[in-house]
Amino acid sequence: MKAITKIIMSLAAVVLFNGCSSSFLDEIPLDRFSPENFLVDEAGFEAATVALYQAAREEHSTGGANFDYMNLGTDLIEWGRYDSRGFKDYHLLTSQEDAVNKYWSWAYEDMIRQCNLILDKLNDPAIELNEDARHRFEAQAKFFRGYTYNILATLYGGVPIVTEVISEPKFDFQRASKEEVLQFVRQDLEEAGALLPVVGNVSDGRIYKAAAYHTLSEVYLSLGLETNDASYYDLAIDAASKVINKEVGDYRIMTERFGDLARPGDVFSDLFQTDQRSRESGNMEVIWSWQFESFTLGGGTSLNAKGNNSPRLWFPQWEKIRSPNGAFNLSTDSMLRGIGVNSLLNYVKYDIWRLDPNDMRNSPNNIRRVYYYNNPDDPEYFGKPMKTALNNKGEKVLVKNDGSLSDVVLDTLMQYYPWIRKVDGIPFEDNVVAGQSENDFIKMRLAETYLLRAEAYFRKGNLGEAAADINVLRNRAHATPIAPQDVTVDFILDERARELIAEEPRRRTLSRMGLLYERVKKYNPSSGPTVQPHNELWPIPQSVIDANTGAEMIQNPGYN
Amino acid sequence: MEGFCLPPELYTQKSILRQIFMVIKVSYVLLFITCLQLQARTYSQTITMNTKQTSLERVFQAVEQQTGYVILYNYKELQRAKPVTISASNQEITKFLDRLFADQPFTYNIEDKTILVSGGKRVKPKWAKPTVRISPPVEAKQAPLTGSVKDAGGAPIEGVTVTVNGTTTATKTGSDGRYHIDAPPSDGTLVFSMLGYNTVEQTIGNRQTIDIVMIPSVSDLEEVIVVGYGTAQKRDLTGAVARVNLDQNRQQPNINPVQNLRGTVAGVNITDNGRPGSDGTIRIRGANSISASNDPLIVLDGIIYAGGSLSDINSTDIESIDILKDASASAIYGSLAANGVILITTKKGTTEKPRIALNSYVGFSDFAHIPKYLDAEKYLQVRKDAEIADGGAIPFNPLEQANIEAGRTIDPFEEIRQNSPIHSNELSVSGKSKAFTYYLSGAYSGVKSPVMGDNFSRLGARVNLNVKVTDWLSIGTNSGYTAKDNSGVRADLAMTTFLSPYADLYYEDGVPRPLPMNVGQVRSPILNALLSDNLDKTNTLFSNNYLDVKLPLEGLTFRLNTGYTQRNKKVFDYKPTFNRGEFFNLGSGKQAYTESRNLTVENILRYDRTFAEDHAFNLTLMYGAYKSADNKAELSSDNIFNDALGYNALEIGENFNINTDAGEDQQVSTMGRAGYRYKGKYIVDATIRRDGFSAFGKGRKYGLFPSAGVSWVLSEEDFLAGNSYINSLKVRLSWGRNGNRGVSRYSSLSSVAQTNYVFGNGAAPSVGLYTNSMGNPNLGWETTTSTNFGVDFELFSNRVNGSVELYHSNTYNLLLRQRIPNMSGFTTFLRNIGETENRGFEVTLNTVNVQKGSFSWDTRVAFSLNRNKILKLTGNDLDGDGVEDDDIASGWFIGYPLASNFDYVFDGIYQEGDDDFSLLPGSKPGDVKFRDINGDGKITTADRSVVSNSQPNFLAGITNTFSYGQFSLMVMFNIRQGGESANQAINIGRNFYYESNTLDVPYWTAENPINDYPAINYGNPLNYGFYQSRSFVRLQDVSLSYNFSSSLLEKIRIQNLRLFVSGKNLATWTNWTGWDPEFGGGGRGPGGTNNSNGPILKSYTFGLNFQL
Repeated sequence: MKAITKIIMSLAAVVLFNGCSSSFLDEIPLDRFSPENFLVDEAGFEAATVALYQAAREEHSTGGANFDYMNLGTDLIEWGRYDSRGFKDYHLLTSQEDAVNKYWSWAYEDMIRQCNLILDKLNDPAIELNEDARHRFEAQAKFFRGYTYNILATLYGGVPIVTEVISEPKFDFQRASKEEVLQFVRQDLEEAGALLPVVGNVSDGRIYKAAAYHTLSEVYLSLGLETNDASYYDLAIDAASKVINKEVGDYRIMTERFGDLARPGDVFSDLFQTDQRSRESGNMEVIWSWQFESFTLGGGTSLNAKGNNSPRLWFPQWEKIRSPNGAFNLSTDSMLRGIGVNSLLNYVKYDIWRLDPNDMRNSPNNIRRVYYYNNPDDPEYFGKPMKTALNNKGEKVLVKNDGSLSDVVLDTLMQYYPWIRKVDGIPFEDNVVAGQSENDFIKMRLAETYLLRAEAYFRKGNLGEAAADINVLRNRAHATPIAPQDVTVDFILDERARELIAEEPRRRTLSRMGLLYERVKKYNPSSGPTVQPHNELWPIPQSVIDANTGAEMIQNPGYN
Repeated sequence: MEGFCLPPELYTQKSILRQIFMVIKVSYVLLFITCLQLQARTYSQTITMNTKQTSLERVFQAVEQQTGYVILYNYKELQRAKPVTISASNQEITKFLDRLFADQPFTYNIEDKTILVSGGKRVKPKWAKPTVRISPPVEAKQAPLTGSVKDAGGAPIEGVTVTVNGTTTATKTGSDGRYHIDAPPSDGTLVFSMLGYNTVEQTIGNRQTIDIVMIPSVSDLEEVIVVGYGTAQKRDLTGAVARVNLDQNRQQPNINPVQNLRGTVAGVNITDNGRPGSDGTIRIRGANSISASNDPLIVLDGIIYAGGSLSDINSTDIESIDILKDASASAIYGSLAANGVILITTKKGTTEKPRIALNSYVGFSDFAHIPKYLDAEKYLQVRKDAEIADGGAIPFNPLEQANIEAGRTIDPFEEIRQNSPIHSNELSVSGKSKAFTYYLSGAYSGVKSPVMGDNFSRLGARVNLNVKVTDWLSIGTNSGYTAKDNSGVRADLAMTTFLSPYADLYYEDGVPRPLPMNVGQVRSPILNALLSDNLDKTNTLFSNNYLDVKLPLEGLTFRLNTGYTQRNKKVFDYKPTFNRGEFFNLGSGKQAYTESRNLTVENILRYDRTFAEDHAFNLTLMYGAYKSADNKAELSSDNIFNDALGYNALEIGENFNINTDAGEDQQVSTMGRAGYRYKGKYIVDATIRRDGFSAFGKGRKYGLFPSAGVSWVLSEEDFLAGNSYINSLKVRLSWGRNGNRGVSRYSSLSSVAQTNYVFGNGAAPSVGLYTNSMGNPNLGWETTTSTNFGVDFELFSNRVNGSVELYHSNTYNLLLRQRIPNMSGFTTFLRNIGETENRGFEVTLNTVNVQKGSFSWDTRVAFSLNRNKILKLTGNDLDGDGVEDDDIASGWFIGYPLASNFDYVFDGIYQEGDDDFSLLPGSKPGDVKFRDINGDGKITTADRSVVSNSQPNFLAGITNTFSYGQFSLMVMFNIRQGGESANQAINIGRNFYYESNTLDVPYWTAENPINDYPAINYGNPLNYGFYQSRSFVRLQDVSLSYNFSSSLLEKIRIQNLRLFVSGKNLATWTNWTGWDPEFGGGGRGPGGTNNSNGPILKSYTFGLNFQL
């Protein structure tokens, strides 16, 4: 009994003395890293850099319900559906608009923060990295930081410049001027350009020197327009020339067919085959592309089906058309399902091709203008081309085999418009209906470098050189060359549309040139009536203004 | 046990301990020399006695020895007798008894040589002296009368005193609840009385069997309430503690015990989320915290039920549920208790004769309340109006077109319906012997929601054992094992709302169509529910083992309490190959395993003694440590070419993915509580607790949480003595502070997440790492201080009883997840900042409205009102107006409640003819007009204000119970008044209204120019929220039961048989047009985490209770 009592009393004494050693409450995460314990060696910095590439690709799923806000409501396309989203009604472009928030948070939360983390840690003298590795990581982080701020400056104007890791909340951010942001971008990209390696024989989706100089030429153009200092155009020409003259890697405009020659097509369509977007396949034009890979971890974005979403956005909702006998068209491996939101404007459908209808980029290999019934349930029409005519109400209807008009009215905004074939591709993870391909998304192509240099020559007044650069592309497309006196900013924009549609973020091109309002008003029948001059820039997201309680974040003019 | 350490000081201080122990030993000897002298004299009418602190039972024995009188009393009732200190010398027996009973909660009658002690009604001897009745001569003898007494759940009640009113004829019920009275007068009345139950009177008449059901008198001050690390009589409480009236709910088929709390306890708000097997949301006295957890702590059989959910516990295993509402009551649980504590006690064996009980019911369920979407006729009309609004034809989708032509329609909510049976069978065996009590139970219950694939079943077993090893040592276990099965893929409710009445869900051969409307965004709600294979099983073991030691000092006991919870969850999923037309995918599958373990060890030392008759003292000391750890492993693959093996052969696929997680956290606690009671009138209590929690920053891990309370039983005072209206009256005042540790582990550290990218074609994935939260090394405790004032009363012979509580609490150093400018790289930051206030008022009222013959009508009301306000935030005044700034981004406004709706002010609809759209350029007739608050002539962000908030004005639950003979009818209403939530589904135009179904709400047209809803295609440029009141009245519970008479049952040797039918959520009255107003989902989906809410279930059940 006595012994038991002793034991019990000892236990009871535990009540009285809270002397447990404090290590019991120390926290060491078991399954996750901290910034302190992973950014310590080359492998850690590599992992941090990989995350940056993934974040950059996320731009593709950014913006509302992943619609193409970089093209919607521009001079190329209009919202193809009935409601007023997609900048069909520019009154809905407010500081509460989802896309406005998403781009902003993508830039600061996904991109800039990670760049600053890498750059910050590289400055830590305690970290042992060889010079080569240090430069490699610094160059990539600086490239992406400059690249992101350039997007911000183009979309929102002057934004706060954050250059360091912020480890406790800050409420007094202030907007820098647009020029300050562009100068910061220029500095980052120049430093990145100096440090980045030259591309080798493989396309692996990484950033090489050429990507920095390609972007720099655009940034110098913006600086020239922002400051009215024409010397920037020389810098833009120099930067573009580095790429064009192969000073920073072997890039070439493809003039001969390449890859699988058994495929019907031409050299322009060869450029965009799913399996021909890499240097290994002989495509020497691509400077940088987002990587997509079916059925592979990390092979896609955070979208629902994760693939390259372009077919879904750019293709008409062709499957909604039924034959005169009522059989609906089918989505197939070669006709991925579109939802008809990026509905082509007449400007793209017709206007830009009037100059030379035989332009290769307007060939059936590159723009599908004739559709074929593809539902075998209707043998009468299966495999036959769709013929259309206007009925007496002025509606476009299908023509029956016997030549009479059917009652199938075609919705030319959503269901029946030309098909940009550079978006064609192998369905991502075998899913035809999602309308996503496994195409790498080409972000930068040498053709655009020529157009940037042409723009710089044009802005400098050197029309001859401008025409020469443009004609490199026109000659490749077997289109009539242009004479120097015909080069105008509108022509450059037309040529960009012909060459780069579905590749370039048209909104940023127009905003960069200050022509968004004017061109939308002129070419876009649905957005034109509501677009206002202040829509040239997006508003600062209201949630950011509301949270920045320590200093006033001034809204862009025209937005409430 | 690794990680639990004994303090090193313990060993070094052994000698000190021994000294302390010696001192205690000596004190014990000195204090506990009691003198007990009993002088016996045979058959005397006088008594001589001199006793101190002796049990009443021993005094009775002495009286019987001295006088030859026989004293009849209920042993069980005698437990509440107070120790007797009395000195008498040759005192006349009635005088002696008057003195003896003056201090006791009993009354007595003398007839011949029998003294009958009864305690059914608490009679205050001081104002209502017991009368000595002489019974009238017994008339002609009648046939014997028998019957049984049971509780509302059908369990026999042992020890009920059955008296023929006005006579000395009395008996007691046995362990089977049965009684027998010889020759009662037919014009007499039987009185059934028992401590803790309402007294029942029945006229005898010609009956030979009288069975009754006794209802516990809930507010009875003698009731023993669980208060944490011990129990207390309700009369001794100083804080706000509520006991759930379970008997009222026993007739309800509540598979999940949470349902017992819904609308029945003032101040406890349960939000049912409609999912079978889910706990829903439990809030005690509103939400204190903004970003940290607001969930109450659950304590099962005295030990923290870490890692367990209420739905793991079988309803019928529960003996009692007590709720600690205010800080002084809950401070004993310190850091875990900021949001209140729910204490659950499971059943123990109580009778020597083994009891076998079966509780069984079957039924079915239906939707209680679903949002109303357009029917076929209205759908076509809306489409026409949309065409007018949009100025052009909007063709139907091909599938719709075909169905319109063929005249085929569907009701989307019928399409996702499945058979929805409810069944439950629960069997228990319990009993006790001298050294052993046992309660064993097994139960199998299942509910299927009418929503396809939403299934829940539970197999549970419980073992509660207590062994008295020696007279000073007992050991025991309260352990349960539960296997829950949630297998099935639930139909997608958001997608269901998109379906038009002309959607086509199946191909001709019955295979579900992936896109039933030809619209990519409207996926089939049932495809996965029908085709995918899902297994979702959770097994939980909760084992609480304890050791009780009576230490060699009277009143001093030690308990070692250990609790271990292990939860294993498996979620397997297989989506088979689908190949139909343009839709093609190969199979893909997943297996996920989660294991979580929680270990709690507590050492509890208790001292409970009464000195010198009037001074009762108790002390509790506790030292404990907790540890919880989780592991998770997830495997998946896709492109599985053959479905035959499903999720059991993921390796035949491609694209293998592995994800593993692990984590742990720890807490240590020390607690002391002291209480003092003087004459049972004045009560003082104090608690102090110190907790340390691992998830807080270095140097911020510990918090100190004190509390104190006083109460005064006014009805024990002379000035209320003799008041025949007030049976008891008590006031309480308490204050306490406790902390909220409701942040997840590793919250103070910045975390790093993983991602992948593939460089080049056909390459292996590369691993990417990025930071995804901003760490806060200063993260510390959120603290709540609260004051509670309460009044408990019993009036008019206990016809009316209840309590009123007034409270005020302040929470400061709030754990706030503040919205920060995301230029820093993060959207939110978790920090300690600001202060909120809750004030509230709660009334619990139980009344016996009618009690006449065999008819009775009782009413119970639980009313609560809580007002919440933010007092302080960052403390910044950056605009320099002398008033602290609101945090608009986070949605916090000083002086306004949490969950405020901050928005533009709705000011009607622009009508045809209005031509001034300068306020908001781009507006047109049919658009919403907003109020220009600052009068600057345009609508800007400065015109936003707090327009409403989503918290209710008050909540009330009203239960009426009607009993007539063997029948009993219970009807319960649950009421919520006020509180608005956004219901954006009202704004049809925002969400492709032209090719999907929409909420059936009015909309503006030129022909129907209403002023409260916008046009059908309104684009909502400012993202206005469209707020609606969530007030509702719900007929929540109705049950009708019938108790078979015991005379019938006796023949077949059954103790109890009761049949019942009951209905749940039978009707809901509300103007809210979204999902259920109870949880308030206002979008396409029903809300909750990942739209996990579901329609609340209306159910009908039929069942029986049976007892051997």
